[in-house]
Amino acid sequence: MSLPTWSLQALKFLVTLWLTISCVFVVSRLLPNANTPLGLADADLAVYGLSDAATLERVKADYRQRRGYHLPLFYVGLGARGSGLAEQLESPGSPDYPWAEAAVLRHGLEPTRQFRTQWHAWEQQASPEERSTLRSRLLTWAQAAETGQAVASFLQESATSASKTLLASWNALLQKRAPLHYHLPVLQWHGTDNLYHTWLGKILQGDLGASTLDYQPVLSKIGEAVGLSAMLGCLGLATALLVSYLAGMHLAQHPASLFAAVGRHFLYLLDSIPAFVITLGVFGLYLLLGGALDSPYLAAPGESSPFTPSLLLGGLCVALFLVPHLTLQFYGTLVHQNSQLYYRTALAKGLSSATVLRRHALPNALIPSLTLLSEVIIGLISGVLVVEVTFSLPGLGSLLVKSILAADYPTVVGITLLLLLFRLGVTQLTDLALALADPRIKSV
Amino acid sequence: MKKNCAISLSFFFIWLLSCSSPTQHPSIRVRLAQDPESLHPLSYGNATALQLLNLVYQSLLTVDIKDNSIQPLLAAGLPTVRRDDSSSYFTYQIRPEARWSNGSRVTAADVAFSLKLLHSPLLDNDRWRAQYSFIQNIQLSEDNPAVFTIVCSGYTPEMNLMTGDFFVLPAYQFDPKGVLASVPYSVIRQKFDSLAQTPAFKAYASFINHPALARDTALVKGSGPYQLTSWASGQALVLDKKPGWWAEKATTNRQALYANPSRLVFQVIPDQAAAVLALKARQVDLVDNLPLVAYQEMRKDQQYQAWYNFYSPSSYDLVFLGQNGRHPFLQDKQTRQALAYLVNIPQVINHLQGGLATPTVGLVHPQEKDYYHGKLAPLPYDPGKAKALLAAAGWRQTGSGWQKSIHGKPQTLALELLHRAGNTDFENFALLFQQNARAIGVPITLKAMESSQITDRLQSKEFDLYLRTLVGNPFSYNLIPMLHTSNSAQGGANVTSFGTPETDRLLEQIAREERKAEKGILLKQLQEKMREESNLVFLYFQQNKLAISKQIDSVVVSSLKPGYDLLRFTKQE
Repeated sequence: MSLPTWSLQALKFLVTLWLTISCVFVVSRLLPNANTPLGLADADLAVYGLSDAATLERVKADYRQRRGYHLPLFYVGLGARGSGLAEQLESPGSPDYPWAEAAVLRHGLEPTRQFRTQWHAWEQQASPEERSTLRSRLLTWAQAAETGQAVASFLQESATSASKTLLASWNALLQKRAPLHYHLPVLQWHGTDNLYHTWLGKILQGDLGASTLDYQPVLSKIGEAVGLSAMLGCLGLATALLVSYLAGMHLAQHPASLFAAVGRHFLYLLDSIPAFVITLGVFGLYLLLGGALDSPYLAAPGESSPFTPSLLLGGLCVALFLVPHLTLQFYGTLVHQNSQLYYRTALAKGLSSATVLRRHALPNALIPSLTLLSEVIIGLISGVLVVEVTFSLPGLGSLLVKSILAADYPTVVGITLLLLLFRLGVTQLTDLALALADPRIKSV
Repeated sequence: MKKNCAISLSFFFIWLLSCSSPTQHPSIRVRLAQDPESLHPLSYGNATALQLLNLVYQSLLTVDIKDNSIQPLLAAGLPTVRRDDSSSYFTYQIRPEARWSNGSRVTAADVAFSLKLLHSPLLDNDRWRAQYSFIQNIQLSEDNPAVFTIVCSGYTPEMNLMTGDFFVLPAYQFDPKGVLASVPYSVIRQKFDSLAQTPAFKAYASFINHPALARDTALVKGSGPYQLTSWASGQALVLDKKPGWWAEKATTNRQALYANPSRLVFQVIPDQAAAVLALKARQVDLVDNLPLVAYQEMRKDQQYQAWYNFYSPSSYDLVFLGQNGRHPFLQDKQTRQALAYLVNIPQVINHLQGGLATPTVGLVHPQEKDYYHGKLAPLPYDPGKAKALLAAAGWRQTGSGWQKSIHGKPQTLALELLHRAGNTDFENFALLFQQNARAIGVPITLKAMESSQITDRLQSKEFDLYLRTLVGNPFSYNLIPMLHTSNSAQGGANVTSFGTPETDRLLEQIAREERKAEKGILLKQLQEKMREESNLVFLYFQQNKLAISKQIDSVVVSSLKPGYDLLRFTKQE
């Protein structure tokens, strides 16, 4: 391939990569609970503790501030015109922003500005309890949960002059109406101080962040899991390739034998059994024959071998998932070659059928098989996942499942990135291998 | 050649497999459904982690799950309580024998440190900050390093447990530089935001938010009876009993101080079917939350009867149907009551739960005899009554369904039921409910969603009906966070907008009341009111399904989590 073609390929690759992980990131930030701290998501599900709505909201706001989640998600966003105006008064991260925004949207910018000035003057002389009570009442009002009466009655109770001024300003605010166009959507430019920008900057420096579960850097977490999954995948794939090659050749050479007929039917049967049933079957058989669960704690340090029974059985299962498909396809393409003219010519020239098969049919059958193989390798991850969950193996598949369930998004983004790289890598390698196996492809 | 290849391949597998032979160990092997992920005492994320942390770290008080009584653990006794108008004071003394794993004494300074940790800025302690926001201060005694007083705002009876219910952590291990020791508790709470900007706290946060504190065997150590020996992530954890654990020398109030097993092995098996296989192959001594079918089958099988004892204690996990009281269709309580009559609880329990569930009329567990409203009859399945109630609520049955004019617009009654995806109990219940509703002409759409999505919809009040599990307990009847109208605002836990001024008063009285008889009367009134309002229709308390090896003696199973008392177990060789 020439240099421009290569650079075009590389560019395509990078753009795909960037688009996909950006989507994963943005979606992960839009998911429910993405902005809720650990353990506070299901406050309605436990009868314990004394936290009221205001405390919960305050803690959640602090959490968003700490994690930087109060920042806008992207460079641009859609918002009501009034919300944009409210940002002139309060920065969106501040605890007073929600009520200021509601006030601007409902009653206009100027009365809100006046009330806010009075509020700051009042804040100077109020006690911390008074401040937090009034703020929480304002926030309740902002959520349209009540009409503003609670704020007024609170200010009426306190007799200071600052409270009286604030009350007057509050009543004045409530009487004004905001212009209708405050509710029109406008495109807002948030600048570079946004979540996506920060995240992309870190990714470009190779920093995928830390897991939200145990603070471990995502890279090291994935690194640990990749080794095991790769071992499992390679073990299964190597076995499957060997078995499929031998079985496919055998079936093609002796298509009429009883063994071949039974073998084909067996393969069709195996192909139709769901992966988890195969895995559980192998696991159950192993336990039935006296096998034990993996017990890493029993191995003395230094003695432990990477080939634990779980890993080997897992490899066997992966091989069992792949063999039927690979063998039958390989056999099918070999049989297809039988009807080709070159095949008959070779036979007519006096070659044995085994030699024709190996020397002439095999290279031709290899090309569709290679394409198939690349798909199988890419699809390997799903098989590996089933095996890892059943055998409690800490690989990539179980890590992905765990991270999704526990909403550990940095890890999810990291794994997606890796799988994407893997997929694109395999496709590129297949193209290369095809070019080597079939010189005609190069010229196309 | 091919034959040889195939044969040698199979031999290779068999050889590799035979390399590791099973070994019998006197340790107790427990199946865990998920990996604890993190054993960080502040930021752990799941119930499994809490179960294990409870073996490593201790709090001042604990609950003996044998009789649900509150017992002193690190404290020498229950706290003495003093109250004034706005505050309450809980004075504790730490046991003189209590020691950290390095042999040093557990002191009041450690408790003060642990409380500060729960409120420090920049740490993942959000839920603790919310939960313990009522603790205003801690006062250390000047003449006794083991005595201290926790000052709380106001008083509610469950503070008796909650003031002693956080992990007491070793200050020498979690704060070797004494960053928190130099700042008083009240300052940490008041200056939360400004402290977050200081370099000292920033450095401290990166020290605490470190993976090593979450999984390093050298650092996961407290005053508890066990220490983490090894952890193969996602596979198994081993906890060994500390030699010469301090509590063996303790002399008083020993009821909660026991730890029989010398080694605990936790086998992580996420897959239910694999767990059942492991149980059948006697690879684990204890499996809880068994699938119903496997539980019933094994229970009938003679071989498994010889190996295992089976238990099905009732839990405090309460399944309920929630109705959005703010929804225009459901604003009228008679509509909500009508829907409650469409639930066929006996059918659900017998057919979906195999009889292993405890029906209930309210949110109090029927085994809490003093508080449960036994005289309130369970709601029968009664479509006729449901129709009558709908009619009373102003709905008219027409050819195209039940219609009513709401805010001047004619509306047809049709509702959506949210439930968690992948939960077969909920899926089946939802189908039964849908069928019962269809019979009287109310169309219900079912929507299976992920749990956090449901939470999101509940929080924004954009829902009609939902199915969920509520985790209760027998200690706290402070239902204000969940049921008071003040908490139906955004972010509050009262998502169904339950409540009237009368129920609010009732809830406030219940939260204050300490006398059992009076509290019982109030709670029964609340159960009646909740039945009347029907924002929450209570279905049943789930029962746990456990199999425990017969090799294990002194088995204690309980309604409280984790459902069994591992520390009391002894295993025969």
